[in-house]
Amino acid sequence: MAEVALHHVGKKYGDVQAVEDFTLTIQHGEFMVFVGPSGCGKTTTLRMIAGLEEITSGEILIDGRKVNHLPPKDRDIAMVFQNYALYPHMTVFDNMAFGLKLKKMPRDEIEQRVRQTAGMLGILDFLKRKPRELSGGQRQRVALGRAIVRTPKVYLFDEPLSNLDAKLRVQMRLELKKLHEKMNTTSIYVTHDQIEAMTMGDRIVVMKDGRIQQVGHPLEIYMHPRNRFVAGFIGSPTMNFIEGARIEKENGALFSVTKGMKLPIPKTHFEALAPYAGREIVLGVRPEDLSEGDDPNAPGAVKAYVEVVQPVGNQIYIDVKVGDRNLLAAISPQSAVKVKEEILLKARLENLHFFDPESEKALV
Amino acid sequence: MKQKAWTKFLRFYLPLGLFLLFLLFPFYWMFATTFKSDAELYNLKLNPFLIHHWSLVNLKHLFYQTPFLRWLWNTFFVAITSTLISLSTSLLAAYGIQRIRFKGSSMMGIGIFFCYLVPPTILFIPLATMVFKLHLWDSLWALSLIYPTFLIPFCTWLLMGYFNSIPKELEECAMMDGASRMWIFWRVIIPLSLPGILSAGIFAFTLSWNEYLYALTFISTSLKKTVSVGLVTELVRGDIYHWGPLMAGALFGSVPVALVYSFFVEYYVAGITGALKE
Repeated sequence: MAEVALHHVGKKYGDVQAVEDFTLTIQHGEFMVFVGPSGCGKTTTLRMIAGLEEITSGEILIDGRKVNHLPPKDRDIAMVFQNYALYPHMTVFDNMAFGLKLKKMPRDEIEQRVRQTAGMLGILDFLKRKPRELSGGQRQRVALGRAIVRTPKVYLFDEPLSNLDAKLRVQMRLELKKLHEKMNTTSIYVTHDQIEAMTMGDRIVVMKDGRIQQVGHPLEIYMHPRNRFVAGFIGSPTMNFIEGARIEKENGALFSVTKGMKLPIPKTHFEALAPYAGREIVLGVRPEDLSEGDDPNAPGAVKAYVEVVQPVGNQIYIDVKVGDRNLLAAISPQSAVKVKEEILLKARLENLHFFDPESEKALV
Repeated sequence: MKQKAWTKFLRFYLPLGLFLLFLLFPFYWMFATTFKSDAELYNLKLNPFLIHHWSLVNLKHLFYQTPFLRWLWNTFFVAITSTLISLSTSLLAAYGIQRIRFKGSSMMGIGIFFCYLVPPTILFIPLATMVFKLHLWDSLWALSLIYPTFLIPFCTWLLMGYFNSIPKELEECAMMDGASRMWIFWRVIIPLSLPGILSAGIFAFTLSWNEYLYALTFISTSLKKTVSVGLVTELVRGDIYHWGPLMAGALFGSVPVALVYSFFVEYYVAGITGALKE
């Protein structure tokens, strides 16, 4: 167990700033997920923690010890790579025992540790096989086993599930989480898949262009995204953004108004949004916050015209036209909605998001 | 269906057949000449493509009247030593250039490639001076040391390409497990590069086996010659060509190379295409 701290860490490749001013403390035993689109610097940050990349500025501490110039082998960390990085010419046993042999651990202990870990991961039967004789999922387990068997202070995962098929990915996600509960070792996990991030992380770091956009618990980020990028990146299907919505004041109440839609703003947001009265903002509505309504006069009711219907089982995604804009709504699977028909939608007003059109920061 | 078979014949088997004929005919000619007597060889009335009376007289000439077996041994010695020297050097060079990425590593890679482009016809005069000063004149070691001048650039480039196909993560993972560079090189890189190393080795071996110019320049004693030089200098006297023994020598001189190729053909293909089975 260890605490990992990064203070103003930066990385430059020539003129390109890959990571900038990255400051974060990962607690003992925490499962931290770095998420962001490709090229956002998440893997570079992970590799800097691993010692595989030099850092340009700032400092990295593992358990209070500065490791900026420490080679990877002296940092007591283990990493699981996206392509598993198993040694093709060695058996599963030798792959797992590689690090322990280098530590000059006695033979019996190596044997015992490898067997114990292999048992935990359900790969005991494959110890004598070579990696090419294993399936993707089994290889993934071996790669995990190779990291676990060393009992390092910190685990680093670099998109370890992205080479697996969708079903196996869900299963491995669960197993990884269970493993973490059991071992409680500080783990840093990099992924571009926001669902993986949401489901696995104790906390999530959302990154873009080498900068941290937001750090927080998964639901906190989902409920209160700090800016438009985070709001659009976290949550699936992605949030609807209505540009050019105006904040209007009427009889002491605030509304966000756009063509075909007039949504009352909850009182709790009045203070934050009052200065924007008469101005345009970006309104954010998550598809799951639009449900089928029955009262056209209820607050938050919106008339829409259905263009596409996509049932996914537990929900139906409908692409609707409101005024001159297209919105996506996720409604109940019981709905009898049909294409080319009018539908009455109801927005969950307390979950509306408001963003500044220039800075793109969340306003409430 | 019938038409498809025809087009396949026209587009595939016919060109392939012609190509094979073109390629293998010299070998057949070599073989046929070896087992013909001079009388048959120079008899213009006989079909030159067939052997009418098998004769071993040329082989007798080759093996008893020239030191052919000695030449074979010399060639083998030079080919093996120069291949070993070149491989061990190029392995380290290719790994260094490809993976350590020091300042100027890519320039060095290009520089080594340029060395390969300098023709031996330009190099043999300065090299001769060096060989002389090292007191290696008329010694097989001269060849063993000179051949790497063109083998090392070649092998280095081939191996660089091969190393490039080995995922970097394998090394990084080993590094995090606590392995040193040399450990990684021996335990991870070398075992995984065997096909590449073998094909570089085969190439180096054949190039040294067939080399002519340096062998002709630096060796003068008959007993120290290699096959390629020995045959031409001892079996062509003035304007008299001893075609029978010459062809016999060429045939037996090319057998070892053919054997080496056929033995390692699978590795060789994998090495050239950089295919690494995971």
